[in-house]
Amino acid sequence: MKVIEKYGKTEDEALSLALKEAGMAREDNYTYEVSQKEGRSGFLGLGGGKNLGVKLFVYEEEEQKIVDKIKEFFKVMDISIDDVRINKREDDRVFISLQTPDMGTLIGRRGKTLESIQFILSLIINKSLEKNIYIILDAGNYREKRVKTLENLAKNIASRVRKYKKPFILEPMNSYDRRIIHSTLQDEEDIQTQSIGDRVYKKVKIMLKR
Amino acid sequence: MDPKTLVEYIVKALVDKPESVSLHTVEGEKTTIIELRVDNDDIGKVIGKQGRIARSIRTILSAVASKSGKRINLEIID
Repeated sequence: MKVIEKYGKTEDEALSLALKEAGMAREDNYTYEVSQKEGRSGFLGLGGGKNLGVKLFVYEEEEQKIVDKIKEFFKVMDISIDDVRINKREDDRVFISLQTPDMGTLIGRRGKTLESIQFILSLIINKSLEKNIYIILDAGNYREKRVKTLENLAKNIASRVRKYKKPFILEPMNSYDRRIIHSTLQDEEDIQTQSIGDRVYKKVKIMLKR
Repeated sequence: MDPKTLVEYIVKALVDKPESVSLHTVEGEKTTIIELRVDNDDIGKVIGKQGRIARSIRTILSAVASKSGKRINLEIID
């Protein structure tokens, strides 16, 4: 995936510049967003006025297929999605962000629905592309908020463990959530964490170091 | 949304023999039961390790079902 950012006086001008650099035409299939509504107006006022930024996302063929599959899936699921975008790509990990008016249905209680959709979509996409790609779905900024929630939870439970000098076992979590708990507390000198259980959803045990 | 279409779409995308996928719906008053049959070699592909795939499909079904107020039960028949 390539991201091209260009500036212009208007959205149209910036988009034209970006498309030109990508070697694409208006009627091609692409995604873009206005990245900067008002920027700095150039050095000492020179080149001022060109302050509207447009980010153009150019997907490789494979990435376009991923986006199309995701759109198809939600169509069958009857959840209206305003936008599907690949945000980031790290080797075989593809980060997708979704915008939907139906956030509650999509995410579900404690992210359970989102997690299930992510898992099933990964399987479908890997089967159709014959590859091993990890699809990481985010809706709105749910994941970001979830990370903060888990970090706070980890710290609160750690204080509790210190106060009562008793270990505490959290409810079962997926591997992604568990990793956040472990990494939040890894630098605490007196606290250690451990995943227990042998199911997919293990529990994290937070305890004092011996 | 037709839950049967959704299950059919997901399952056919996961198995090796989509032509052997068959679904049967039993409409109850509060619950819809979807009976799913796949080729014997494909059973693992719809159940998954520790039932993870089947559980995920059920979670997705209950999310869409909650909009209509009816429960959906997915039964995988072997």
